[in-house]
Amino acid sequence: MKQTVSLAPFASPFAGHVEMSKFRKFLPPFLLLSPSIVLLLTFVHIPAIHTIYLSFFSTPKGRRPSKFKGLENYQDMIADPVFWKVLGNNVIYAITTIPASIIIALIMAQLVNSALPGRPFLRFSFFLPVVLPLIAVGNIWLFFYLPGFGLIDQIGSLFGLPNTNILGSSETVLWGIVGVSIWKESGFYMIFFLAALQGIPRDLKEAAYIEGASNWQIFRRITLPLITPTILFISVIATINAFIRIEHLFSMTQGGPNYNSALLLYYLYENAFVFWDTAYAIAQSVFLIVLLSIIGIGQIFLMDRRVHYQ
Amino acid sequence: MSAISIKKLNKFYDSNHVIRDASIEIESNSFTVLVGPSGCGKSTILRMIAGLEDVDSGTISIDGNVVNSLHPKERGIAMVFQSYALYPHMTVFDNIGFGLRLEGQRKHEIEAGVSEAARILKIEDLLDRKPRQLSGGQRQRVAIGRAITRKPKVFLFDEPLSNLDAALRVQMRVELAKLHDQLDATMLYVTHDQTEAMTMADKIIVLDKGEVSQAGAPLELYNSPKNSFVASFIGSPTMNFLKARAVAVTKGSVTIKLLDDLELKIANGDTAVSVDDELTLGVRPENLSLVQAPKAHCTGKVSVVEQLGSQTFLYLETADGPLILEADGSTKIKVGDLAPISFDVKRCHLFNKHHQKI
Amino acid sequence: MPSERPDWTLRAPPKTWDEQLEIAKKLTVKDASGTVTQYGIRIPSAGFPSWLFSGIVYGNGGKITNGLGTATFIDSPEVIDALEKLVALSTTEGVMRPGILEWGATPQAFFEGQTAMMWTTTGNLTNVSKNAPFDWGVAMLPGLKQNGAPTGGGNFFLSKDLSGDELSATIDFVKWISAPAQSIAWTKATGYVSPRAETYETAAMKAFLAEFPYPIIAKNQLQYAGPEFSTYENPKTVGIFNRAIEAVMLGEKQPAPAMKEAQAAIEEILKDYR
Repeated sequence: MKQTVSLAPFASPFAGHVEMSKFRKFLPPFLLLSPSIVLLLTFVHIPAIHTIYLSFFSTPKGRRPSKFKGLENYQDMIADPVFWKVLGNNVIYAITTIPASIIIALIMAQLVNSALPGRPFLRFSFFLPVVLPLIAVGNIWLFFYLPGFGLIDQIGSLFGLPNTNILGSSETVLWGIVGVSIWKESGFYMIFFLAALQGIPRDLKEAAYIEGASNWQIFRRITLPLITPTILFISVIATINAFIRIEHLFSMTQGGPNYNSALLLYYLYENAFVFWDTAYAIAQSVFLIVLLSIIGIGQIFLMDRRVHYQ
Repeated sequence: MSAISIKKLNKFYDSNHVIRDASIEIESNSFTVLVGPSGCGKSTILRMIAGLEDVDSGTISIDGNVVNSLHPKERGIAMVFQSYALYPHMTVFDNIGFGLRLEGQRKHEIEAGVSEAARILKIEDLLDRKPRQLSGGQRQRVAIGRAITRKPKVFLFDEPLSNLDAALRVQMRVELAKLHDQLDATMLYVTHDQTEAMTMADKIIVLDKGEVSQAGAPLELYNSPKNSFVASFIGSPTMNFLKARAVAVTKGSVTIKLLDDLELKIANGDTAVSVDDELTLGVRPENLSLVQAPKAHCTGKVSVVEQLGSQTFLYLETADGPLILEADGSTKIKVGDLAPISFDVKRCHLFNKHHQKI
Repeated sequence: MPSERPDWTLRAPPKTWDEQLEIAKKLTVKDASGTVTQYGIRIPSAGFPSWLFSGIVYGNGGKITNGLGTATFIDSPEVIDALEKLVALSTTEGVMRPGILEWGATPQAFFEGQTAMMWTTTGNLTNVSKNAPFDWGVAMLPGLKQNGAPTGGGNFFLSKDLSGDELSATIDFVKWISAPAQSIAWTKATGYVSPRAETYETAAMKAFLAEFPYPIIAKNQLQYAGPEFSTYENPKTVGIFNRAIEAVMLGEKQPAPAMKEAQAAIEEILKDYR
């Protein structure tokens, strides 16, 4: 406090100097923060609030301008069986791709982190899907899945398995998409796990080994607790990705057949830019934002108690 | 009986021969220190005893049993790492009790083991903390506590004090020595610091480039180094070395000539040496003294004066080469003075051109 | 365009749906374990099944829209019957691979002998002529009651705001792009039908067709063709129609209720435009 006063010779030593110094204390940090605040408001908060506002209006069509509809867009959403179908698809997609890709990523990271022969080749192979754009990955898998002469049917035929039509059947098309996503995402998450694993001092594992811990016990009791921050981070990223990464749908199924592989964002896109029913798409956007916020915040709260930050 | 007996041990990293035919005996209940400069292989030997590195050839026996292919937990050893290797996500209690838990001991047995170790190390009030909340010295104790609970036959220490500050290091040296008396166990301690070796060890094993250079009690190594490596490594400040040539050899003594034609008659055993052999004279700073000019063997110009209070080290330039001399703490000599020097010829060492003592 | 595999013994292409089915049955080959190694026919359906399906409807004497974009008739008996016949190929008759079938993979399936006949766009004709490793042929789409075919393609739109030089330049461009010289090159490269009848009277086109006569079949089929599905809010309405056909092909719904449901949903959208 004394320092503040001495640096402000014009401030009255009597009444008001406390307020003045308070103001002087908060002004510089506020000024330093203001560029970020302006950017955040302009590109995140104001558009988000504007989106919520727009979701209460109808889509303007030709001569009919947009008019206030209240919650009607949301009521339409609840009454729309396709919305529930794609939401259900997305939930299945999320609860399968997230754990599967995280577990596979962790196994691959362990493999790549251990002293195996051909490690550089393994690293490259595991990482390859990461550098490919998802839309290209979709194209590659389209050929894997082709009925009759695709890779899967060719391999299957070696073992006398019947031909498949994975992307052409309602029972399997979503699993086809799930497989692509796991293949694509696992390599990406592996990089984070690899970094986390390499951050664990070798001494810790050696100490546990000397104390009689098996490989599994070392993994379970030492490695796993020490990479929980990474697991949390990846599970948040993976959850978000499960709802926002849909490029492969464009190159593989266009959400079909009959919406069996459509995810929430794809249906949102279709409403916005194929059907031009923007009001409905906006209501779905709001739903998606709220859903992701709840999931993200919930995950952090739920796992924070069990996460060890070094 | 030896607690640890190592015979003809060899280790290769690719084509690097890092341990060469090392044979070591470590007596039961001794405090043995493996010492050597970095890269000499001391940590590798420790890790091979622990079971963290494979043995390429030779045998390691603990309590008479060859343990080459045994899992670390079956060797009856515990190890304290330089980094302490405390599990950062576990409390002190869980860190110390981890080994017991892995052994499948019951809860009350674990509690008894942990509190026993905590009592010995006086860390009872730290048991609920995480390692990051501890000071360096406290972490060190926890690491030792973790070793104690496993009641090993042999404690292995890998440079355990090198991460501590100087004052704490001196204190921990004393505590480790006390702990050794209290536990009555064999301790094998690796360090690059000869002071730690001299102050703590019953027996020192000096390693040089993967080979055992000399093994013995601290004073034995200090007074009778087998070679110039041990002579230079043990003792601080280090031993002075001067180039010399044998000019006369009699039974029981060798007369040598230094660079400026100074002749000294040095006591010598039966080792073969002949006239004109190139030799190295080794003399410790305390075996040189300041004398009155007539009695002096030579003189040196003082370049540095290091006053430690109880003694003073003088760095001298002489015609025979640079010398460090230990004078008493009250000496008045200054930089630039010419100091008359006398050699204690009974305490001088001679080394041949293969660096072996003659 | 149904095309056929060389190992068939019938040299005359099917003219009716019944003939097509009969031949498809003969050409469906199974191995010892009962797995089909070659299907008789393949009608691609991925993404927009309504397109080829409308050809089947026209061949069944039906209509899908009123031509004004304000009404559809997809719950009519002709449409439902056509859909039942289409689905039967892969269900009760077993002559077509079940599920939704990709467009892109259809010629490939034909080349590799996975299907003996295929329906596909005329734009695939040149592709097939270059890549089919066997003798093959082209015929008009066999109809349920009569000949019928869908039409497709794109349109040039002239904005009403255009005037003067811009307007005349635009008209010039449209004339140029659809002129015989361009059309012939286009037809040769793809197999697509040339948009202007006069193109077929040119010496160049006659010479080309004398050497490779198949493109003329599509042009001659135009007399039986009906318009492509088109209404107000077309993306939404045709989407509903396509999804309903898919649901039936996937076995999720029965033809009649699926078409009635879709008709009702489209009605809900189009009622505002009448």
